[in-house]
Amino acid sequence: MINILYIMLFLWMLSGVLVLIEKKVLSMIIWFFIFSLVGAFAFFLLGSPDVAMAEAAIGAFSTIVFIVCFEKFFKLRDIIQIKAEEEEIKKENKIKRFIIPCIFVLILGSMFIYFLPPETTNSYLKELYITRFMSDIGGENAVTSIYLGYRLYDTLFEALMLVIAVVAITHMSYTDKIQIKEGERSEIEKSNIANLLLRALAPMAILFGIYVIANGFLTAGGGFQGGLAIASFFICRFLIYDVYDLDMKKINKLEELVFILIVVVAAVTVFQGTLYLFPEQYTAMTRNIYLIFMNALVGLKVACGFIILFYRYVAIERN
Amino acid sequence: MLVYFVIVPIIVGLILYLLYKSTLVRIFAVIAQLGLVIASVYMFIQARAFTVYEGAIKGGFLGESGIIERIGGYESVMGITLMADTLSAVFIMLTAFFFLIGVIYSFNEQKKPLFWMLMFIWQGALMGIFLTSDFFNIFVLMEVATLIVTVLILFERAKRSMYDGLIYFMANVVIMQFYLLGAGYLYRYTGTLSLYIANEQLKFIEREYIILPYVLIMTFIVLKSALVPMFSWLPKAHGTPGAPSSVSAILSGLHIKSAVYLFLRFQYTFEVVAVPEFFLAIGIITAIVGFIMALAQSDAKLVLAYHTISQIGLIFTGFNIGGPYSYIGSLYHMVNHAIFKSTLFLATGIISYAYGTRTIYDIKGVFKSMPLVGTATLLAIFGITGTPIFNGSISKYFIMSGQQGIMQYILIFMSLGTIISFVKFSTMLWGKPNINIETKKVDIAQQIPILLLGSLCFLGGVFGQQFILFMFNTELSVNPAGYLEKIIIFFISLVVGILIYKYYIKKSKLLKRVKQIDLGFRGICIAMGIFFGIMLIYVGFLQ
Amino acid sequence: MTIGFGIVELVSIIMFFFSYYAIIVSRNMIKSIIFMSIMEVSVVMFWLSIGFNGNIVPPILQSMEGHSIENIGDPLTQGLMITAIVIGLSVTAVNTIMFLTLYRKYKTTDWDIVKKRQMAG
Repeated sequence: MINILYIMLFLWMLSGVLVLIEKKVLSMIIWFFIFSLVGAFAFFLLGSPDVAMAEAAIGAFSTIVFIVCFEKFFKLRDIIQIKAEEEEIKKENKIKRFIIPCIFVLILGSMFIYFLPPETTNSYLKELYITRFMSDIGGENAVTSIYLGYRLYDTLFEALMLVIAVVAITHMSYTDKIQIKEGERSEIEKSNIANLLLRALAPMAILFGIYVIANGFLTAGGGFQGGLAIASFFICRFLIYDVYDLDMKKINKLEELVFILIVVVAAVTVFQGTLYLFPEQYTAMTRNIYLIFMNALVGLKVACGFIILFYRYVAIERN
Repeated sequence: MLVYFVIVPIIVGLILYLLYKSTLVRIFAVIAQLGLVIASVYMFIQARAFTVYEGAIKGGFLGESGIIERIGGYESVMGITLMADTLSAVFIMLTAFFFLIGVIYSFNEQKKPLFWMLMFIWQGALMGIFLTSDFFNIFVLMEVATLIVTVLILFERAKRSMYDGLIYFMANVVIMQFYLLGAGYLYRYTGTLSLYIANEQLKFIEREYIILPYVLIMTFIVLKSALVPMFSWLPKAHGTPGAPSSVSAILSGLHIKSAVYLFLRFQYTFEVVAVPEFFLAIGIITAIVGFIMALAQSDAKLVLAYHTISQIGLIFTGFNIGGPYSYIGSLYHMVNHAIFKSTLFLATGIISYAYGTRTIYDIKGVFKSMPLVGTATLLAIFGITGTPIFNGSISKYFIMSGQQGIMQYILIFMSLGTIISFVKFSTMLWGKPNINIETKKVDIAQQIPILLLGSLCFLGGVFGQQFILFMFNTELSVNPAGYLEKIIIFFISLVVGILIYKYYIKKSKLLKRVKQIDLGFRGICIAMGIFFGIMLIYVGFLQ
Repeated sequence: MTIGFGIVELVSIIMFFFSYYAIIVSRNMIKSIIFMSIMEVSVVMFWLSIGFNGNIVPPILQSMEGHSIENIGDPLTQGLMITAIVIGLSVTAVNTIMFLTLYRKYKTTDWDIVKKRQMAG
C-alpha cells in the first residue's frame, strides 16, 4: 500500500509543477484536473473515502468552471496584451523575475523545515470520537456523525457559504436575460456519443446520488457527495443540450427554503442539548431517520446550489 | 441561548430576501434589529453575573465570569462551545448597536432585497466570530464574512470597484490557507480544537515546536488587522466608491475589530511563546505609516481608511506596551474608534452625495449648508483627535499612562499625526458653501444616527470612567495632574499641527509621490512571505 | 523521520510552498486563480496526514472491526476537510466570475497592466 501511495504522491507533485510550466490555458486546466484526481486517490489511500469522493467531485466541478469560463482564452498564448505594452514587457529581465522569488521561497521553505516539529500526534480526541460516536449519534460512519452531530454548527455555515456564493454570482454577472437559440444545434449536441452517454448515464447518476445520500450514515458518502452527483446530471444536460427550461428563480427560492429548514431542524434537535426526542425503544430508529433526513436536506440544498451556479456560468459564457 | 444570537440574524436575513415586497418589510427589519440590541444588553448583564464553574475553562481576561453554552450538550473537548465572557459580550452589544445604526441610515437609501439580506447575514457571522472558542469555526466564519464583504463593497457597481474587490477577496483567501496550515499543526499537538483547552495542552510541549503554528496564525492576524506590511487591501476595500456608506462605516468600525479580538484570543492561547515587543514595534510603525499615507490622499474616504490603519496601529501599541492601564485603555479605544470612525464615514456619505464629489479640496462650507451634519462631524473630529472632555482623550490618556522618555514622545508624535490629518479633513467644514443646497434635501433617517453617535463621542468622554466600569468591570481613575498635562500637550500639538499643515503639507511633493505607492495582489503575497520570514527569524532565533 | 510517516507531510508542505511561489511569480491572472485552488488541496493533504501511520482504515464500522485504534483514520479531520473543500469550490467560483467581469472591462489578463490602468483612472 505504501508503494502505491508514494507513486501517487510523486505524480501529484509532478502534475502540480506542470500546471505552472504550461503556456496554453487548456493544458493548465487539464493538468489541474489530473492533479485533483490523483489527489483524490491519494486521499483514499490515506484512509478517507469521504474526502476522496468530495475531492474528486469538486475537482471535476472546478475543471468545468474553468473550462466554461476560460474558453475564449484557449486559442491564445499566455498573456493577452496590446502591442505597445508588449514592448515594455519584453524589456524586463526574465531571469530576475523568476530566480529571485525562487531563492526567496527556498529560504522560507528551508526555515520552515528547520523548525518542523517531530511527529508527535495527540490522538485523545480521535479515540473519544471513535469509541463514542455510535452510542451518541448513531449510524456507522464516524464522519457523518461528526458533521451532522458534534459539529453541526460548522455545517450550517458551510451551507450558508454556498447560498451566498450563488447569490454573489447572480449579482456580479450583469446579464439577466438568456437567449434561447432556436433551430441550430451546437456541435456537441449533434454528437451521437454525447447523446448516448447522457441517456445511458442519466438514471445512473441520479440513482447513485440518491444511494450515496441515503447510505451516508452507513458507509462512505453523505449529503455533500450525493448532492454533487445529482447536480452533475443537470450540468451535463446544460452543457450538451443548451436548454434552459428550469426556472432559476424557483430553484433559488427552493434552495433558501431548504437551508432555513436545515437551520430550524438543527435548532430544534441538536442545539437543544440532546438527540433523544422519543422514548427509549424508538431511539435507534429515530436517530437513523434524523441522519437520513438531514443528509437528504443537505444533498438537496447542495444540488440546487450547484445547478444554479452552473446555469449562471453557462448563461454568461454563451452570450 | 447564545446560539440564537447567530442564528436569528441569518434567518431574518433570508426571510427578508424571500418575502421582500414593501416598506413594511424594512420596518420589520428595524424592529428585529431593535430586538437584537435589547437581547444583547440583557445577555451582557447576565454574563457579568455568571461565574464559570468548570476548572478547565477560564472566563477570559477580565475575571472569571461568563456564559458557556455547549452546543449539543457534549463536553467542550468534543463539541463546539460558545463562550461569552465580558469581552465578547461587550462586542456583541457593539455589533447589535452598530448594525442598528446602519439599518436606520440605509432605511430610505437602499431598496434592494439583496442588501438587507447580506447585512443581516454579516451580522450573524460577526456575532459568531465574537462568540466562538473553536479555531476551525473561526476559519469558516471568516470565509463567510469575507465573501459577504466582497459582495457588499461591489454593491453599487462603480467602475473602479471590481479590481478593489478582487484584490481584497484573493488576498484574504490566500491568507486563509496560511491560517489553515497553522491550525493543522495546532490540532496535531493539542488534540483539540478549542482555544482554551489548547492553551493548557501547549504547556506540556517544548517551546520550539510551537513556533511554527504561532507564526503562521500571527501572519493571518496581521493581514486581517491591516498592519504593516500587509495593509494595502484596506484602503481599497474601505474607501472604494462602490461601497454604500453604511457598509464602509461598519467595516471600519466593527469588522476590523474582529481581527484585533482574535489577536487577543490567540495571544492568550499561545501564552508560552507570545512576543509582545514584536507587536509593539509593528504597532508603532503601522501608526506612523498610516497617518503619513492618510495625509497624502485627496479623497475623503481614503483619508479615513488610511487613518483607520493608523488607529489600529495605536490599539496594538496599547495592548503590548505594558503600562498599568494601557490594556483597558486600548479596549476602550476600540469602542471609541468604532463610534467616531463610523460617524465620519456616514457623514462623508451624506456630504459627498450632496456635493457630488469626494475630493476634500472641492468641498467647502459644510457647516453653513448642512449644520446638523457639520456639528456631528465636528464632534467626531474632536473625539478622534483627543480633545479634552471627549472620549478619545480618555482612552489615549490611559494608553499613555505610565510611559516615560522616548515612548512618551513616540505616542505624542502619533497623536500629532492624527491631529494634522483631521485638520486637513476639517477644511471641508469651514468657509462658504459652493453648491446650491436647496436642490438636495438631506434625509432625516440619515441625520438621526450620526447625531446620536456624535453625542456619544461627547458623553463617552464626560462619563468615560463610568463607561469603563460598566463595560469592563475595572475601576480606573483619571489623575487630574496627569490629565492637565495632557490637555496642555494637546493644545500645543494642535497649534503645531495647524502650522505644519498650512506651510508644509499643502505644498509637499514628497506626499504626491507617496500617494502613488500601491501594492498589487502579487505585492501583498510577497509581503506575506516577507513578514512570515521576519517573524520566524525573530521568534525562532532571537529569543 | 521514519519513512512512511513524515513523507506525506513533507510532500504537502513542498506543494504549499510551490503554489505560493507560483502565485508570486505568475503575471497571468488565470494561473493565480488555478494555483489558489492547488494551495487549498495541498493544505487538505497536510491535514489528512495527521495521524497517518502506514496502514490505515477508514472510520466506518464495516472496515473498522478488528483493527486497533492507531490504525483507524481520524474522523474529525475528515469531516473538517470536507467543509474546507466545499468552501474552496465556492471561493473558486466567485473568483472566476470576478475575473471575467474585470477582463471585460480591461481586456487583459495581466496583473501589472491592470494595475497600471487602474492607477491611471
